[in-house]
Amino acid sequence: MTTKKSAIMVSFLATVGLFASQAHAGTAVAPGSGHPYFNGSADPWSTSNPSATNAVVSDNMVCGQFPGSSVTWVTPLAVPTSTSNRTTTITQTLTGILATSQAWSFNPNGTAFSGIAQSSSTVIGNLVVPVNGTAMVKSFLSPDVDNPTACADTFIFT
Amino acid sequence: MKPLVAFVVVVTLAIVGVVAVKHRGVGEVKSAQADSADSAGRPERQEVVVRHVFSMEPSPNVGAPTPPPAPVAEQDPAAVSPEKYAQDLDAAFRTDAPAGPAAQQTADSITSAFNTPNAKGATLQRVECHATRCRMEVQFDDLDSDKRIFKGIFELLSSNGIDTRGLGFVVPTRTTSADGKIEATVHLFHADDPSG
Repeated sequence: MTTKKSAIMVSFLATVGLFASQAHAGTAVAPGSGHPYFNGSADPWSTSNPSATNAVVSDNMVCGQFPGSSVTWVTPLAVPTSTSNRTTTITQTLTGILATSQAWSFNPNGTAFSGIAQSSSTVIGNLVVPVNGTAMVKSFLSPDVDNPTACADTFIFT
Repeated sequence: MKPLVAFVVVVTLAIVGVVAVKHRGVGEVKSAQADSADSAGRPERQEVVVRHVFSMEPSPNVGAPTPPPAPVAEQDPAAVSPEKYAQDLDAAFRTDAPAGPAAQQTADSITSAFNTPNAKGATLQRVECHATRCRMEVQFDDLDSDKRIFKGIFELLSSNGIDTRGLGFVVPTRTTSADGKIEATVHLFHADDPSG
């Protein structure tokens, strides 16, 4: 009976591990789950941060809401990297010609490992994340009078 | 007559009982210490299989069929070791087509970018561009300079005439010397290049 219990426990743990290992595959991330960028500030939501006061977040989308203003938005990506570098393909929908994004990955000590600049309104590209590194998308939303819409929609990375 | 018949019936039942007990005993030995007669069927077969898989001792059943090999763990095609990735980047650069006029212009633009005030704290020691890729060796004065200059690397390059749309960079290797200076190898390429 002990063997039977062990077998059941092993099967359960294997199932949990299988699901955990695939939790990030094809993950979609809403820009609203990120935060405004504020160079050197500990509080990106500070009212003195233009990226916080000039942005509006709704329905998986973040937009710059005032023509002539500029919003920089950071959305972390949960790319699993424990023992290897990992390549992740990132797609995103941008609305308006004055919206663009970059994807970045960083080493554990905070130095940049890799970066890519968005090449089209839907594809950011392939980003390589180092072992135990972090990754994010940085969106630049700068509406003007002629192009009042500048929004970043959901990211999908695989 | 009746007592005789009764005696025969009792003896017959006794013999049948002894045979039955003997058969069950053999089954218990074969079933690897089963807890009860009721569990002597299906559960024991599972136990025997489990012992074959996990036992570190040689199996006494030499002639028995070997269990099927465990399935090989599926490799993550998106994962690659840091060493292999650095080698692949170097190989992609070496096998890239030779530089043309446009590549030389890109190298000149990169050199100009690292001579601007925005690149203060970094020294471009070498830059080489091929048809679609560039490789640079950059020395940073310290860790802060490394972080600061890379944070604005796209702006630094675009302000010196390089089209950064779809551009990607990777820093596969960094070495820090005793005086805190950092030597970094930087690869530039278009992000839609799968080898990037």
